[in-house]
Amino acid sequence: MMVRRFRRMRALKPDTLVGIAISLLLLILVAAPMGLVLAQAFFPGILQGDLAFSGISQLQELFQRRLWRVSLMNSLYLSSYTAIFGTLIGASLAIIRHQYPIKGATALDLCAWAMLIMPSFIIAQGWILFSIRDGIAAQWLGMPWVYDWVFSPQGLVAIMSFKNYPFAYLAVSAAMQWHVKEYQHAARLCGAGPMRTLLTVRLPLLLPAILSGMVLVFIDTLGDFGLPAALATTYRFPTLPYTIFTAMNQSPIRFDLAGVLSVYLMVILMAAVALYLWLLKRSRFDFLTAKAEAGFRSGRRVNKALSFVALAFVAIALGIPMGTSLMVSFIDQMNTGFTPGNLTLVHYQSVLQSGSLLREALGNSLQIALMAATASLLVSFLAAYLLTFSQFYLNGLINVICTMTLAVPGVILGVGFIFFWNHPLLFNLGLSLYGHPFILVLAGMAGAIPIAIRVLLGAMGQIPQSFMAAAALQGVSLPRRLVTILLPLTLAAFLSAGLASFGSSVFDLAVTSILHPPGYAVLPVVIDRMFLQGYYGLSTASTLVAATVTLGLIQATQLAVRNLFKQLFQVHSAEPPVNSLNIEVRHA
Amino acid sequence: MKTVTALCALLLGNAAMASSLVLYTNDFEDIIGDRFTADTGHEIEVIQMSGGNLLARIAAEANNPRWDVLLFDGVGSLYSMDQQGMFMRNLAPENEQYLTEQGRSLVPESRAWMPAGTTASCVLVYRTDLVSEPPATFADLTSSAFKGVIGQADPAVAAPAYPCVASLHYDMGMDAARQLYSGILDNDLRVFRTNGPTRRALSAGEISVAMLSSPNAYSMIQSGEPVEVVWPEAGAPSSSRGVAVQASTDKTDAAQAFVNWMLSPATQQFLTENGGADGLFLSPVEGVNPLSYGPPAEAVYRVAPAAWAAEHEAAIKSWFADQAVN
Repeated sequence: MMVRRFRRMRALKPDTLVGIAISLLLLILVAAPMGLVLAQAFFPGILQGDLAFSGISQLQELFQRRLWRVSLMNSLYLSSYTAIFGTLIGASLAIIRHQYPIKGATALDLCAWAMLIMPSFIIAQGWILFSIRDGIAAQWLGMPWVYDWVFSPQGLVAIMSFKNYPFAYLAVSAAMQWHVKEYQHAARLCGAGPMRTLLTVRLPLLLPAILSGMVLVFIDTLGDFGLPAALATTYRFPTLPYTIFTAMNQSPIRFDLAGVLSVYLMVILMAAVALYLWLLKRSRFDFLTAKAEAGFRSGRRVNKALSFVALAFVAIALGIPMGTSLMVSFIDQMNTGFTPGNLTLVHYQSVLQSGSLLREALGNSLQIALMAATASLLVSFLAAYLLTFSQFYLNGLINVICTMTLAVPGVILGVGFIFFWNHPLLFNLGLSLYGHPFILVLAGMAGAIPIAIRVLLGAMGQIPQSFMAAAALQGVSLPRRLVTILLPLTLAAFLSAGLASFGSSVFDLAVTSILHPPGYAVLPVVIDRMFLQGYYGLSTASTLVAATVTLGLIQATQLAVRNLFKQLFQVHSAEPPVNSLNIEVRHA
Repeated sequence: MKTVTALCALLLGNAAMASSLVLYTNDFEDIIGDRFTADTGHEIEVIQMSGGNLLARIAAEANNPRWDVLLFDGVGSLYSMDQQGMFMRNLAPENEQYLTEQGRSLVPESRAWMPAGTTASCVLVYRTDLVSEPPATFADLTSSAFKGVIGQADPAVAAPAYPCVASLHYDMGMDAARQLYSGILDNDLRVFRTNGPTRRALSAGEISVAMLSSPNAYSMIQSGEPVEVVWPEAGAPSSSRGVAVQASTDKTDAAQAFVNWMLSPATQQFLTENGGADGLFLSPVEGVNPLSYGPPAEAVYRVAPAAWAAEHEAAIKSWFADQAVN
């Protein structure tokens, strides 16, 4: 019997085997916990084994209750505009960064990573301290109008765009790893200028990456609780995550209402992913050929105007919120201002001293993030391969599941994890991970996979099917094809995906705040507590220490990998020709 | 791969001690554990979370609770959890003998929790440098003089903010309270997520009057900020903290020891002196000296009955949230 089953398994295609393994993993990791939350909307007693259907009348409440209706409209407004502007910013900066020689290229990379890993509440707090009536803008820079601008729906869209543009920036940057300059040469020979070549040749080929980034910006904005909640108080601008949070703050708690609102978030998410797939199917983007080169830059002279644009952007998007946090971390009394007598290092001494809670929490969070990032990178790479190169019958489902955790607030995901991992069935089998630090690794993976997979999909979308098919025809096994063809061609995206997963896991507040086990300090929970208790000096000092360590690790890894695989990251200059090595993409 | 395996092993080694008593709380997390162990010999693990997350975690664990004792601010929620059978009833700690009259009035009929302290969930706090004619009552907040400069925590999110709104509804009656709040909301009331951001907005001069919890209000005065507190003569809407034991805990002795320990005058004095802003509470037991810069001794606290607060919670929160939307 066993032998027969084993033979049947061996008869399956390698793609199918990988597909089944990834589907099962995603089922346990994301679909089951989220499904239990969503099921609350229709089967409120499901956890107690009561499968009585409560009907669908609750779904109509969205259009009856004023708060819910307004929340839905606000969420759609915020996500749509942020997706447009965030993608515009991210894609433009990525093209500037990789197409032209500019000063501040490293600053642009660091800014993107910093914005990606920073928790929303720190960004929000920085903007609040900058913009309030007695804040830096009004008091020091003589710009009182900043208050009205920031605390408005338009201001919220702008700040959300500054926060979430890195999704588009990293996706497009990763996709620009390879370049086939013959396309540009053909366009130029036909009389097209540099701008027309960019708009009609380069940009359309980057469309999968741009759309990937756009979907991520849209969905992450849709599910973000912290930033809108912190900034929207002045004009009462509730979004769906905020309303879900209020449904879970009632006694007795209304998981059914949270489930209904989550269903709507899922519907919006699926519509966004469906639109993305439809747009991709309309054209082919697998433009890489054997003549592809790694990297490409127009000219060698520094472009001053674009350098100014890049540095000005970094100064606003990162400089304002983090600069404000930096100032606060050196101030003794907040209400005394930034005066010499009010400067202190006491916050840093306190958080860095031996045995401090921050040191313990940072160590724990880095360990968890490393494991979550490694595992989610592996899963995402295989899932992205399936979605791009295979006809596996569950591809559509994998695509949606891989994105769904981004659209729901972390607290909801955390509740789903408790439902699933604390269920008496698993508990009695000795499989309950809830209450153990390992649950945070799983939660970190669930949060990181959507980011990693979108970055990888953008890069894989450029690779023709024939590359992998030709190798398969020659009898090359799937693991070897993945390691010797797909991985080198998407190495930049692979690196970005891994580091983004790592950075976001370190600071993931929402899910860790509800899942953290007893006696186990984790970084975002420690920082958030300091912040809520009003210890702004300690919370900002802790954030900056943790961010510096995390960004340092990210940069060091990037340098190490780029150094180790120099050939794959070699940047070439278009004119005049330099001694460039053509990277040969081997057709098997 | 070896590194990851080693990290897994390290992480697994960090697993929490399953034999310890597990406390869920939204206050005093930094000081409570060591002191309890030193006083009683029982090991304890403390999990601190905001009120909302705490309720969500407890509700999500309902099938398989992982907590043994709960210290929570809000009798309405405590009552509701008791009604769902989550608490061990008929608690009779020895130290109950020390309860004051106010403390005894807060013991529920089911004796499912014991009072652990009371704070005003909202008092009027104004900036002395920005307000020339301060408000004397909540009704004064409808005056056009305060248009756009009043702030309050969101009762749908902040644990102490619902008792504030509930208490006003209980004292004034539903219709009169809704009329009052409609007036304040029409005066462009700024609804912040919790008391922390409300305090920060008042501190920054973004608003000049706030309906703020008493620990936040008096710690602002203590830190030298230019604010004054108006404590309503008839009493301030208040919130009571309670300590409860999980119904199916297998650590009954240690859990009951914790409840008894919380009612000891020495513990109450310790929490008062070492709890920072959390220490600014009215103790339910006799013989506790409050912090000198806290509320006056004659201050009156008005806590809406737990059953009433629980019964009207959904209606009041929904009404407030729908009205607060632009």
